[in-house]
Amino acid sequence: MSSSTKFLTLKTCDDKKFVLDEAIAVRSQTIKNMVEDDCVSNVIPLPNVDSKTMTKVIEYWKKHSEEGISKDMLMDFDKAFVKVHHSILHALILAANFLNDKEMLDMMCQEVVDRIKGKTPEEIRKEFDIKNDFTPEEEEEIRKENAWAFE
Amino acid sequence: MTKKKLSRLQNILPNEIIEIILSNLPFKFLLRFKCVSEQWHCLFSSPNFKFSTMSNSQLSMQRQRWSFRPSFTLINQQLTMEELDCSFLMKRRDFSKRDTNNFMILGSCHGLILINVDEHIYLWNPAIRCCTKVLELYYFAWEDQFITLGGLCFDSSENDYKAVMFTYNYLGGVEFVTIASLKDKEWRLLKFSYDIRSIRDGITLHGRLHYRVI
Repeated sequence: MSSSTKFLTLKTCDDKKFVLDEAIAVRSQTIKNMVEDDCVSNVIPLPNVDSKTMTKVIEYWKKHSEEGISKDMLMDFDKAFVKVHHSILHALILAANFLNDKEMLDMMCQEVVDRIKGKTPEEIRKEFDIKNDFTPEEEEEIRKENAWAFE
Repeated sequence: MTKKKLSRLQNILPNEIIEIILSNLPFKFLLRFKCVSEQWHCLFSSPNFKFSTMSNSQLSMQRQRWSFRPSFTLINQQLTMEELDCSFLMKRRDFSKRDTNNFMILGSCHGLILINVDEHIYLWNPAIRCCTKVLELYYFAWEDQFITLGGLCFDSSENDYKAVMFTYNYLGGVEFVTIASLKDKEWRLLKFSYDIRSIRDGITLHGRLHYRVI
């Protein structure tokens, strides 16, 4: 590692600190902007991310920054990475969104897409914690309008 | 904030992200999920919601090098031939599943999708599986013409849908932007001061189409 390696300290909302190579941390567009605008003093606060989630994010960043790693290996890593409980998946999506890492956000969103594809509307409400605000009649009406989609 | 409350909040995704997720779903599932809640129902019917996510980075990478026209594989994730089940496919006996280069989604608005096949332009309503021919391209006879981008929007002042088309002729280097109302079906040429090849997919805001120039 060259002597010019710079490290950044990230602080999550539960006051845990992470020291990370700047070259890796700038995978986050949010952090990159901060570094470029020179507004990084010593600690970068991440008020929207907890330490558990940040650990996962850093694991992903480090893997994707590894030198000489093959595409297949990365694909296997990604596949395993997204196989988490939906609450963790959602937390990771929120973190990727806040940190503005589009690559990671796309990957996580695609995983949600794959998960909800085969689900019924009832299961979707559960997954996203959505209240059904239709009357039974209204719901039936919409189902009828789009009947072929339920075939 | 209690820990329990925080973890509960974290499970709720903001609308912008739900929108990203949903725009990647095949039509069939979108229609199925219309009855999840009023908010989701409105979302799919809003002119701002894009069925086709050709701006999606994953998809645009699959664009074939030699063609500006996105190939069918590109939108296959959103829409399969079986799902389409449209009258125009029946009429075209030569329309094999592989030969789909002339197929392109131009835009979507209020849950309607504007599709271009050869010189024909169809409006597809996936909810009722109905497809109607709405326009014809007058300049189709010209060879080496590419529609690089299209759009569909609703003009509330005239109570009419309008189709916008960005066309590029790679031999002559000629490019033009045309607009047509679905009512009078006349194409009008628009003045446009940017290089068409630098136009990318944009967003719809207050029912108006906005494009990105790079």
